Amino acid sequence: MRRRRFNWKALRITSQIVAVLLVGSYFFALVYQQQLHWWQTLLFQLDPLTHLYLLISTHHLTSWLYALIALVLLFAVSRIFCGWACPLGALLDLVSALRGRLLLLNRWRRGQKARPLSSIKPPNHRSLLPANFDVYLLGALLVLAAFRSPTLWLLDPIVFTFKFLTVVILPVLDLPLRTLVNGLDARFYQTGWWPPVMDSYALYFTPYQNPVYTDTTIFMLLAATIIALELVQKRFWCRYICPLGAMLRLTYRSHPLKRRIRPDCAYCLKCEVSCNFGGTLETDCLYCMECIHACTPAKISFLPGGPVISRSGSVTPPVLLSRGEAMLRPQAAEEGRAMHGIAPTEEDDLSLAPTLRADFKQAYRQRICGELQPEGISRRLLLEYAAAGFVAYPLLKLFDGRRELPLDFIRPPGVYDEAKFTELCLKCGQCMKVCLTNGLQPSLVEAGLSALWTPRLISRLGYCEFNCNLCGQACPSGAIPKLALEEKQRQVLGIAFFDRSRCIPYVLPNNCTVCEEHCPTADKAIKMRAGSVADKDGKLHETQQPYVVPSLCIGCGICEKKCPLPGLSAVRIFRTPPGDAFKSSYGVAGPAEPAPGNSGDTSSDYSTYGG
Amino acid sequence: MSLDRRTFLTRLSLALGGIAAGMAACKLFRGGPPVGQFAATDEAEAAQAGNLVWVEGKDPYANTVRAVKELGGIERFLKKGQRVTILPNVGWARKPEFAATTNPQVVRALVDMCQQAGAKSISLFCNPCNDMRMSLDLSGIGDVIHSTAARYEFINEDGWNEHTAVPGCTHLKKADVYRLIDNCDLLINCPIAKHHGSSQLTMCCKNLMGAVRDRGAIHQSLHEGIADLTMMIPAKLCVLDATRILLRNGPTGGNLKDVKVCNTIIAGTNAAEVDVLGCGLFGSAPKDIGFLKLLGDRGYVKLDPAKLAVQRVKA
Repeated sequence: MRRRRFNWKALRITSQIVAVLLVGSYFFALVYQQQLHWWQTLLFQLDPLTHLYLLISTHHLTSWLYALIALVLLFAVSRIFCGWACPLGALLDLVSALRGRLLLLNRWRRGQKARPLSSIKPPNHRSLLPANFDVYLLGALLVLAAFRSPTLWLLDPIVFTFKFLTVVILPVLDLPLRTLVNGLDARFYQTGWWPPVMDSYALYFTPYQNPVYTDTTIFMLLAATIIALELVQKRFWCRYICPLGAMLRLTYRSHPLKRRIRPDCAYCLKCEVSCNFGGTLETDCLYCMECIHACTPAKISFLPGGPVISRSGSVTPPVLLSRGEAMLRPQAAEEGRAMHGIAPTEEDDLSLAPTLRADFKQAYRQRICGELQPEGISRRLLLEYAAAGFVAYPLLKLFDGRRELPLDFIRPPGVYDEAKFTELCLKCGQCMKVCLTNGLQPSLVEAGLSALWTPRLISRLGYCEFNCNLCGQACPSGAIPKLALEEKQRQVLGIAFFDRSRCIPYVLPNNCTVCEEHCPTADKAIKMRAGSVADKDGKLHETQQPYVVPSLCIGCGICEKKCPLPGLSAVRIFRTPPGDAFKSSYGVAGPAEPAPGNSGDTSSDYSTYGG
Repeated sequence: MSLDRRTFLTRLSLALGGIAAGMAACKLFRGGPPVGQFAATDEAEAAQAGNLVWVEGKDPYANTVRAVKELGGIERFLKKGQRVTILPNVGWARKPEFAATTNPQVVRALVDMCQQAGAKSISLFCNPCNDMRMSLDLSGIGDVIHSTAARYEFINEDGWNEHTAVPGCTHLKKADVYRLIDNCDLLINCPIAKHHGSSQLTMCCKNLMGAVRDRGAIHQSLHEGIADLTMMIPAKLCVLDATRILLRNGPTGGNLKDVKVCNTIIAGTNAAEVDVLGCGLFGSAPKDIGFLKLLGDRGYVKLDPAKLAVQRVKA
């Protein structure tokens, strides 16, 4: 008879759902407000990896308090996070749960009849990559970070999740939803019962337009790879890659909550088969509670007390040995039971162990019989991987070469020091999510591999709103400086230049002035003056032609965005060399380097450019 | 799963029947007046009360109330249970003191009057240049929405109705006008008077650009476009906010030195007439303002302010 016990697995799944909902709320709450709340960068501040990374790459912490909280969480929560709260882990668990129901996979397996429960196909628990690979990978990544090359930092699951939500999920969710909401609203808005749904919709999604992000295909490929790897092996990502998981793996050892097995375990091995994370003899555990669920006589507990099967703590070798042996030869289980005087009861269903397939047993041969203890972290291997990071750095730099930033590569307001920005930027995507105009876009390799997916302003897609400093407020690492509004309005992102071969009043005998109209600076940086354009008969017509006053222009890009020409705008924002170089090029004071604040001054000694 | 012909036909007819029923239901719920209905101002009423009023006084709220009262009260324009659309200028994310957006007190006064007159619904609309959420917050019109029954409608991209040009238009053949302009019983044009880089002055006529989309194309012959829009979208009540006016660097402004405090409200029943009067605020002659000259040439408005019957009130 089955004993009633608490359904830990259901609690874990509930916790995962709550965590996903919390992250989702956090994500959707990051929309236009005049002042963001204090908790709107919290997701990244509580991430110990953020602080470790910033400490190594910039040699100081952004916030001692949050670093301390993250450190406490690192030890207190440890691996429980992976099984119970990690949003990426929840997604991967969902993929695994759907695995048997995915249509294509079923087609592929067509013909295989459903097997009886007694002959469950054991999951693939074979180690596909070297044990503790994630720890070594983390070592290599940290060496890269020390060289200020955070190329692979988007492997942080928190960063990855947020970025994925921003650049893929939101646009994909928004497109059909917007069509639906728009269509229903257009149909029903005059009826009394129809709620003002457009208003609420516009508050949580970009008003008027579907958010889009450039070059996200490659990002989706990465996500698809992670999901495909999940189909190869449960929690592949978490076992071998995840750098946050690697940190938690290290603190797992000292964590008080561990899996404990009663000494009268009858070696039925159902816990081994049910485990989500490489079998229960792995170095650590995700607390997925599947084994509690599988162990019908309820001999497993995670609460303190009783013998522990783990690397550190009170290991009970005879049980461990017998369990390993039991997998190889069914009679070993019997021997073990005899040796320890365990009499199996009716509750102990021993039918599973003899039916385990040979390859499952084979997988354990080396780990359990060859070497009883799970593999520890090898100092030598760690050094080897660190050395690999050391070698990888010049290779990455080789890709970047001595390339200059493209002229139209505009950074968010207040960012002048490209190297400093690249090393501070977590690539989390909070700035892109909060940007009011959808102008902040993930870069590809324009600024080098190190700056992959860092924010850039593509003015033709969305300009920098004059009265907005939300990207700086939303940046958790301070890569985009938090500036007061008046200060932000003086930041020079670039300078507008007119393409007079396309600009309407330079080409046709028509006026336009859209750019001048939108220019937000108090003394307009785009001014108009009379010029003349010949019509088809050669007759000259007077038109009002725009020109830029570089010392007034802050490069917000609203002119480029609003230019009515199709395709390429006739006025475009280009990077400006900071400080003295700018002055020698254009004879005006350019953006200060690197301190913000004193740029874009309206000193009178400027010459005009562009007309 | 295989599907025989009978089942297929049954399901197909069921599905088509369902769609037809759904469409019929949609048709049932649609309604509202057809596009482009604007009753001409009642001539008898117009003869009784003035059609143009110039109010000066310290309080913009009181000025607005007084101006509408001098025109015959809001009841002249609005019957109980009718729908109102107010078209303020919320085009820019600027604070009211920069005189780039309509003074929120003026909008509030109009909303309050409409509510007291028993309006069924009061909607505010403006197709903004800057981010709408920010424009509402900074201009102070967001507060009006939050504290009154008025509703600001965020644009539904499916909500544009195509208007064809009316006789007399020379440049525009059609314009996409937002649905709120059509689906209301009273349209109140409620702009701010300010300088504009290309249309010279932006007042009631230019404010109609806030009701249409694809404005980039209109800019190539802006004056013709504004003149055409004025004839295509006649608002029955025009309230020009000249509490503060912007003298230079319009339409965005941003420098308090460019702002002049006039404490004036000009109201009327014809956007062009109000604009002709409004030119006086800037010391410009109406015939020098491109779109007004065009409207004058078309016989839509008398360009000489002296020939307009204006009621001047000091509140």
